[in-house]
Amino acid sequence: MADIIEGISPTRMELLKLGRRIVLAEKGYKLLKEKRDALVSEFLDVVQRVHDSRARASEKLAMAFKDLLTAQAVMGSDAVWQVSQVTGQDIRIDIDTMNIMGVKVPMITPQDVKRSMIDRGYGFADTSTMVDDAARNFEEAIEDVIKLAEVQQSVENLANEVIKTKRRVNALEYIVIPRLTATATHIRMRLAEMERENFTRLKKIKAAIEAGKKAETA
Amino acid sequence: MSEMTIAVIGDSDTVSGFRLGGVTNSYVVKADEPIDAVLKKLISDEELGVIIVTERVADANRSTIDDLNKAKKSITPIIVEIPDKDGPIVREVDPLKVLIKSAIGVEM
Repeated sequence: MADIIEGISPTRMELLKLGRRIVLAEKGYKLLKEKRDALVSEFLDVVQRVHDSRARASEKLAMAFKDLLTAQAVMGSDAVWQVSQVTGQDIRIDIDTMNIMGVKVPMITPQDVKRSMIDRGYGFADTSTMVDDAARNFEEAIEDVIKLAEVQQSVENLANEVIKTKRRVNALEYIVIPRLTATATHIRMRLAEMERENFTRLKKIKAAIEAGKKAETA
Repeated sequence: MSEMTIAVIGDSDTVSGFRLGGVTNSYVVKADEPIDAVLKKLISDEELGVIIVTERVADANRSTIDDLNKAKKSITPIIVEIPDKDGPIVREVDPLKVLIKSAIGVEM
């Protein structure tokens, strides 16, 4: 039996109020439980996407690093470093927020990650084609890394919301609702007890009065 | 919808690769170097959407990154960890698995 809520006087008024609170708590509990289930299914979905996205990004990066290494082997790493310092257009991304069941998740759209040779900014004469390959592969890898950033942030936000909702559901299920019902039962029994007390008191008084009347007439 | 930029923090090879790919906002650090100062500078930039950090650097700065993620109020900047040229670090506990466990209570 759960604890009763302290400081509530056992009156009919309070019993009515408790009844309303129980109804409300149960309604909230049902809604939150539905929210939790929906969140969990969404969460699992995004987890899968994180897995895929991470695998793809890792693979692309590995390829890009291999090309970079080749370029470094052909031109020397200092020369590649020099080329990388000459920069063309910077990548820009659009970040939008989407709302999944009240959880804000990012939606990132990269703007023209794949650039033309000219936009890359470095000269052609003194660079090897390996650099071009590496640059192209890195552009592709960056696209995947951006996608990974998006799903990773989504999964974290969703997880936090799932934890929060779960805590609320459990608090309602195991603490709030049992406490309310226990208190309601307590009040109901207390009221019944008072009723019985009153009943016996009246009986006693009636008996006393009748005894008094008898004594008077006698 | 807002237009934002990307930054990268990592070893010199990672940085030169990402610079070739078009991320010019870059910081070369050694694997075990603290990046508090760099991160502090980066998060003050509201235009910055994504910070790419190599796993090795991120591992050396785990507490800083965790604090940052807890403290940030908006969604950006998103800090994303990537494997460097030596490939992904194989971890005993996958942070994603830990997250799943704490969220739904079962391992997957």
